[in-house]
Amino acid sequence: MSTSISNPMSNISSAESSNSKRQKFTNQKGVSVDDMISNLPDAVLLHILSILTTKDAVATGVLSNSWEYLWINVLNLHLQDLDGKKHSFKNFVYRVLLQLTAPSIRKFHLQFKSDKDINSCDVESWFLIAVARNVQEVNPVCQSKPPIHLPRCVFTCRTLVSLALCGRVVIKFPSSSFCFPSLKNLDLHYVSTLDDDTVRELISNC
Amino acid sequence: MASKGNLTLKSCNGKEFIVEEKVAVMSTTIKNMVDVDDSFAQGVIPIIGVDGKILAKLIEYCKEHAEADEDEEVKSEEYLKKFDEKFVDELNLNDLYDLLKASNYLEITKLLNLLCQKVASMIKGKKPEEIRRIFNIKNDFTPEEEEEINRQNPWAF
Repeated sequence: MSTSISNPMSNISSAESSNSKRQKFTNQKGVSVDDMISNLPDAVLLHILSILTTKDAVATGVLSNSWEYLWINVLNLHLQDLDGKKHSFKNFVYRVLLQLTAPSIRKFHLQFKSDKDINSCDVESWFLIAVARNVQEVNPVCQSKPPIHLPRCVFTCRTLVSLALCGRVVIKFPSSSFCFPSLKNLDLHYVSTLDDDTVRELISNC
Repeated sequence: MASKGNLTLKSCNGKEFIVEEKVAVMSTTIKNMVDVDDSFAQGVIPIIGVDGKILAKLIEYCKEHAEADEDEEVKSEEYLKKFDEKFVDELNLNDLYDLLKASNYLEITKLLNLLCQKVASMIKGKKPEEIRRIFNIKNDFTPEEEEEINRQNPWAF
């Protein structure tokens, strides 16, 4: 189907790295030399996709063959459902996390409006996956009822360096664990669900 | 001597630029070369795959930021923000791609981040056909394949 001419040199340059999966695609189907953005090194394209919301990053998969599986390597996840669309945000988050192949998640930003569809087990499952992928930054945002309860696995996460809470996020320290062993940055933004003791305990764990 | 001297950078089309070392070492790649081999600090550093026009833009950016890093009083954060905005706004697509490749290769992290932010802002919230048009991306999926991808992640489209 492709009418573009494969350019074997397009992926070979001192300034370019290659990803074998993508290289295979460009060799098989060919990326036109005029399509300069698709010929940028994967590291650069992933940097761009990691800035976008995960929704926008996933949507780039439909641009062309060379973009189809690029987003699954992003390091930052910005999972946001701000307008409550007709399709299930819950399914989207599960599908993203299942398809993600990056060995680690650097940033996990989760923001959604209260949804009968999403329960605390779902939220815990998502955070468990992030923690298993050595997440470094966690940023739950909730502006509606019911609030998000920060799951226990986040408290004991050894790789967590940065925690940013926004809106209605409930923190309940587990009684017997050493919490936030690597935490260096704490950002509290309009958090209405924390009492003074919890804030003190959070700060003392930094 | 090397720490206070100037360095000579040579583009792939033979243009030479003499720059202060503090400007050149904004590039981690150049910094590593100079650190490992002192002869680079004395001689000419070839910048492979980067032409004179792009190298001049890189130096322009690094100069502003190196001076700001040295003395925050001289160049405020606000000044740099305005400089960055103007810098990316004046780029055409070809220069944007060339600078992305060069800043990735030379590991100029701040600039790479700035340029990636620019491209991300051009993609953000747009429909696939619009993104393809902006960046001249050829859709090489069959209509069936495209439909299948849209079906897999309906929430994203």
